Amino acid sequence: MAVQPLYITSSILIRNGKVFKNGKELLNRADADSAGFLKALYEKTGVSYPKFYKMDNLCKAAWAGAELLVQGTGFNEIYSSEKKGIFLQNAASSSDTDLKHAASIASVEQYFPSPAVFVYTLPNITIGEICIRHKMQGSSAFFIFEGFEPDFLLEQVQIHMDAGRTDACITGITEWFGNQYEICLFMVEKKAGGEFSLALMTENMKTIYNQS
Amino acid sequence: MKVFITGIGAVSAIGMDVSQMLESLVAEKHGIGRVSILETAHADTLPCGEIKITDEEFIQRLGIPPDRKINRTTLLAITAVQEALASSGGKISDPLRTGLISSTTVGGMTTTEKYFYDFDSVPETRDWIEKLDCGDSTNDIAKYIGHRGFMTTLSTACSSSANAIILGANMIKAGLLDRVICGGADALSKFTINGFNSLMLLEQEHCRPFDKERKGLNLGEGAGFVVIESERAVEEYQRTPLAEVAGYSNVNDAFHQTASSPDGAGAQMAMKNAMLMAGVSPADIDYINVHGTGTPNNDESESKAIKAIFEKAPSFSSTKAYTGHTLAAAGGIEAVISVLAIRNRLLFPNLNYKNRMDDIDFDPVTQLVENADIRHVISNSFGFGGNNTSLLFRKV
Amino acid sequence: MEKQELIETLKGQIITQLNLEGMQPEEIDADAALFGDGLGLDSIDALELIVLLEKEYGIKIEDPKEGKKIFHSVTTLADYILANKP
Repeated sequence: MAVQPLYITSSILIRNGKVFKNGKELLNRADADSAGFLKALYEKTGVSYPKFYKMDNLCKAAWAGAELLVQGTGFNEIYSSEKKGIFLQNAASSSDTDLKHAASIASVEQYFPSPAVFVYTLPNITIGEICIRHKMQGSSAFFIFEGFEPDFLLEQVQIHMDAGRTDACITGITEWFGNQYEICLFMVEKKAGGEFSLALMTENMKTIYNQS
Repeated sequence: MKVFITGIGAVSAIGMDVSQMLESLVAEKHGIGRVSILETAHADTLPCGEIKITDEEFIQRLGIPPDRKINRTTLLAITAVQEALASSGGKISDPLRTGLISSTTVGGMTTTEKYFYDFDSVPETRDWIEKLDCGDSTNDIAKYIGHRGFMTTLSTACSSSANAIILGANMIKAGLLDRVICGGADALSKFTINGFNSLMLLEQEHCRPFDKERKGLNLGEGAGFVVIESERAVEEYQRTPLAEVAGYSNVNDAFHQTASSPDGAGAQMAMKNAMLMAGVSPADIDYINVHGTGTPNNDESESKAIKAIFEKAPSFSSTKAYTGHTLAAAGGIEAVISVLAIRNRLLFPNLNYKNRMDDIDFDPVTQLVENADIRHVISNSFGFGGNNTSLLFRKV
Repeated sequence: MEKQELIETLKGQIITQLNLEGMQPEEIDADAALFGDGLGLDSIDALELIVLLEKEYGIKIEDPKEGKKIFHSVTTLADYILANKP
């Protein structure tokens, strides 16, 4: 199968209360606690999306990350919904919310499992939230690894792009557990972008991921 | 590069292996009933497809040293993986580039919730904490069968094992692997029973997929795995191909976190793409093993999707009234059922179907059909998060 | 409990239970539709309201379809609670 060149045309890194887009600092709220930071992140998107408040922390961070990643690109204008794919990974899966749900059914006296919490006990709900927002209906998958696995993600993206199943996709790591989090997302297209574009190579993914 | 299924393995409430499962399917013997092995407050009110074998009995059957800590999801998975590998005629030691792609939604939750309150005070129970991890389950399967090659774990809710098969087939087609053991497993847990109950998706009686009066689903547990191999491996090792993995598609419904879109847009796309990839038209589809959970929302949406795509609805049935909804295992178990349909020329009935729903002008298969000429089967698996997958198997 | 008092309590409970960030009780019109065009709640919110009824008022709703009428507005919800309180 032919392997065609692919490009990273936008990137987002969210870690330690800071956000970097295409390598440049976009937001610095290192002073805020996680709830405050998530709120600042939402405000930074400039979008009114009341559903945001109902999401769990993982979805909030990933959703906002995807929003900032997509802004200023032609992602939603150029590509048809069936040709937009998303491939994510993390290490903790949805454990952050799993534990909340487990706690809600652990107590005999306060036994009230919440549907709104249970919904988020799957990592691919993160994908669902991003797909709903950007009307992405192409291939998607969420993988669990011990750490960041750019080689694997790259392989996934390449297979789907080469097979013609997707024309553009979002890939990367979306992690939230307790107070630890990191979101590192890449937009991948078949053509080099305008102001920002890097060849889709593991080294470039690592450079962006390791920026801070 | 064509990809073939060469081995199948399944364990569920209707059988400890594939032959028992086939017997139950033919005899219309379902596995839904009172929960007696898992301790839950809902044992009497929410019937499930529980496998009536304790963890200890599984450990004994599999010959695992009793002091090894292995969770129920993994015990189910090992049972099905072993059967699938044996039925392919292959050995894990064959000099092929072999992969193991397992999927689960609850991982070791069944034991984690059992010891939740003991972790503080009883240090011995803490080993179970790391067993919660979904990936740990795949590690244990690999250890048990002696697999050292590529492995990964996938979790996309109820479409997990169907997606494991897609990932495996893609990796073979991309020339990265020659053979992949892929599928999924999920044990019953309080976690899922209470979660689905909070979403009011559970039926208090035996579920009635596609029936007008259906109220919800019954949860189940189990594992379903297939061995898929490249055309070249099949020739080189003289395997008997059971079916071709001719088409597949994974799309997103992009509608709601848990509910399907009213017109089944995602389901339509998934089925259409799978047919496109296999080079067949709707008229070529002889049977659909539908997702058919029995919830008002899924069955209506899936019916609408079938109506939209097919001029005349092909034979279809949900087998979830037999097994319960086994979540991550469902796609694997139903892939096995699809292969059984093709190989045995059988159409399995959709149990408990009585009345047609409004606006729909077709019914599922309600009685066993023998000598059915089945060349192409679609197996649907739809998961929370809008994750919709269709697999298309071709007779060989 | 007086109906008016119950309505005010409910508004606060709805905001907390449904995570309606940034919304004040006085912004909720007691007679406006909670779902659809009103507060824009969805099916999972309806399930959360069912949990709220059970947790705070000991009222169980078995069929989610029943919820449609009961949760039409804060006023209909209050009426239902007063009529069905154990």
